[in-house]
Amino acid sequence: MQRLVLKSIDKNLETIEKLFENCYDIIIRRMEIGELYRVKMAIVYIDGLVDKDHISNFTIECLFTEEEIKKFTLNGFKSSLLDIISKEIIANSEIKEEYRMEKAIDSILSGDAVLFIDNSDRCLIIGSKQFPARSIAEPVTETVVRGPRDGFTEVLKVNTSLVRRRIKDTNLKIEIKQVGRRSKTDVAILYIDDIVDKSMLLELKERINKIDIDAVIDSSIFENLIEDNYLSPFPQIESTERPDAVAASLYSGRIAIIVDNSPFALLIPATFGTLLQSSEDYYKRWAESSFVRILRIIAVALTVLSPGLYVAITAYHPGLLPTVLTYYLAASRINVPFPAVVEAVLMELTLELLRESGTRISGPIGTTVGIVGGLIIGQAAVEAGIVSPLMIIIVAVTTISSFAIPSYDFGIGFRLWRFILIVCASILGLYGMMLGIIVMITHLIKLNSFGVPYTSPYSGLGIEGGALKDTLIKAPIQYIKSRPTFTNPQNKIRMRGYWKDGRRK
Amino acid sequence: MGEENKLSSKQIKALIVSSEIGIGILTLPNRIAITNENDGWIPIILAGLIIIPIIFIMDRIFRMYPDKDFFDIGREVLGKWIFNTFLIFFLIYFIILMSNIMRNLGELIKAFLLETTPIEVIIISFIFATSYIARDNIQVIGRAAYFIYPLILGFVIFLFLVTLPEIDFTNVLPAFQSDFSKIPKGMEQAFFSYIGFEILLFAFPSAEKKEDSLKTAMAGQGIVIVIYTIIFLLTLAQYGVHSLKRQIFPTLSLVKEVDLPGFFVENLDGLVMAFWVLVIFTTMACFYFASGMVLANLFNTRDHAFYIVPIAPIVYVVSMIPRNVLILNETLGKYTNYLGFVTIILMPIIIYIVALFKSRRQAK
Repeated sequence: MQRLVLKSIDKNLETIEKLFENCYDIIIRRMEIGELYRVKMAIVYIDGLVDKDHISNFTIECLFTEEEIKKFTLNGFKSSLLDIISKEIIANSEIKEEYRMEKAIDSILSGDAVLFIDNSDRCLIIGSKQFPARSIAEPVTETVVRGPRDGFTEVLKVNTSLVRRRIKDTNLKIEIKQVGRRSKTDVAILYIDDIVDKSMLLELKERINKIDIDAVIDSSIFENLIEDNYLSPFPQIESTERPDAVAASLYSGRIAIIVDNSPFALLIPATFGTLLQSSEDYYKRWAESSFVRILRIIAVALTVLSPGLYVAITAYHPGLLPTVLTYYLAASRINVPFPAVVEAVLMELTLELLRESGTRISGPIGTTVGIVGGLIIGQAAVEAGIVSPLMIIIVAVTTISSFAIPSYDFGIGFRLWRFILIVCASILGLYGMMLGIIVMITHLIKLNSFGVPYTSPYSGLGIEGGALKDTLIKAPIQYIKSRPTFTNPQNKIRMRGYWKDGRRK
Repeated sequence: MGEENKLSSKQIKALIVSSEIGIGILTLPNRIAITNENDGWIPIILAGLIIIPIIFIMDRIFRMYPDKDFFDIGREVLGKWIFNTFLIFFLIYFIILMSNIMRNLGELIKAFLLETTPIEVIIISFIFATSYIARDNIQVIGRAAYFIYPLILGFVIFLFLVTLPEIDFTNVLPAFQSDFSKIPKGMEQAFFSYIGFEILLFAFPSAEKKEDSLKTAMAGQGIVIVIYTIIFLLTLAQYGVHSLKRQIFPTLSLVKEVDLPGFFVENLDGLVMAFWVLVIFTTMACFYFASGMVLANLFNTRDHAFYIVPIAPIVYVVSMIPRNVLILNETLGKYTNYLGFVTIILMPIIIYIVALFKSRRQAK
């Protein structure tokens, strides 16, 4: 039901009081202004979301001191009182007229103050949002050695301004949509108008419009709601805390989504290639970045394969190893009472436990967890003969390499597949592992991220466009003259020349 | 977003390479050496070259009828009943071919990796692992093929580099000494290894750049010919013709000879066998997908995913029919070759000729 702002201020305030019954943070400031003919007015806002100084200095004080209002009945009106107030009296910079009650209430809820005036069927929305917020700090999950150190905060406006500072172009569009029936969370869609693929943008908006949920608490919930395949263990949307990463992605034709109250921006589309990129790759010299990128692919392989390989080789194919190594392996496992699978699952689970308890608890207790885990479980388990020392090495390598994957969620996907591969290896040895890998590859290949194959560029998309120069390795910036092709950008050229281009004739 | 439904030229090349290279390459040098001795490379190259006109014809057919898939064209050109008869042949061919691949794979895995595991488990688990991708469309298979393609090339290059120091190339000589009348027989043997290019019947209609697809498909075929020739010459040079005749899996044995200094894997053959499972996976995925498509068109349904699972038990049963490896080639291998000749060589030619006549008549 659409409710309108009524002419009688008492009825309006009655409605508001009824809606905000038992809300202790609502503040209704009633005023009567004018000397001969007193007009009732009221300012409504929520305590804590509003800059109180701003309201009292520039709104209430102006209303009280303005001479014209006080004797307006003597002179009579040319225009309505509301117009006079908004145009001549109030000193606030952000003012909007509104005739719908629902919108007015939404504004109150999101931190604006609303001024009701008697005998007027409109109200004034005064922009005065100010709420306690964290200051801009270095991102916790994506630290860099070299590169900008600012990270997103929980406030949408701050976040979009951080991106805007990096793209001083009118083509950077920031569209706001509200998601969540009750939470009414603001969601900003950022894109560069003349680069982005319009059909992808349409698809995204359609998916957002289909959402009907009571609340969106964090961008990760939003991510799950618009993902292609929500059952998959792999994220099909990238998330980042870094405004520079968002800006760089926008320049390459991707779309960013910033959800209010979340310091993580979402980037679409995400592919195997982009999830293994880190923003620092672009700040380091090309040789180092290329080396690190290849290292990351090896890390993915190690994360998924190494425990399964250990199980398969010790249980089924000890003959694959050189004889000396086989003897050593057998000797180190001679006291271990369990089959290799149990050993592997036991150790991997212990390590996952350690990791989990370590992330939830920080500070001094976290250190204790680390010491207990490292010393007692590692050293003592070997001495007690529960696991072999080689197993400890394998577990350590697996964990370290899983953290070398820049996207945490992506790494988690592989960490889970590791367990499936351990089971496969324990049933059918190396052959079973290959079957597990086949199913995993099939799953990855089937995935799409907003119409872009998830495994690109390794499954063929954009190879002709030289996509490998910026995924498998990171070529010097002079060689990456066009934007990546997986985003299907309208404007393909990124770089037109540098000083050597002119001289080479 | 439009690119989602298209196969790029590189994917078509990868598709043809990874669908042709599969189980055949492991036994090819041995089979060819038995019939053609030192001159085995001649039938390998000739058989490969014969495929090229067929690819050309396939491409022509799709150019005559742009925007139509293979089944629509076949039905329009040959009429519903004749074409459906061909499709039944096609289906039988695919099932026997898959059974052949499965049985070979089972025997290989049993010989190299899992001595005591029952072959039934190996075959069934593989069929089910492949059915996951076969349910999807040709684009996904193209992506998978592209994923595996560099691994195949890398493997051949690796094999070439590591065996090179110990190889005795005088073993390749004398050339042109064998009985030339046996070359057709050798070509028949080699033909099995080239089976797989029929995936183009499904790939051509969804190519991104139709004008390039013929060129890339031929490039893919060329790569396969080169790979087969290299593998044959390498095994021949390593073993000499008399020893090669007695090696059942010469390509894997070749790997066994490799001794990498400082490498922590001693017996590479097991590892390569495991790796080769991936290569066979793409081969199998193509045929599995294709047989699902054929079934769906026989029953006039659009969605082929429904038919994938019912095919699995049939393939399994057929693959268990031959009693041992020795008669495997005599039975399934032979039928695959004959049926393959009818369906993937004769059928495109017939469709092409009939279509030509029809278009001539229309022109008049």
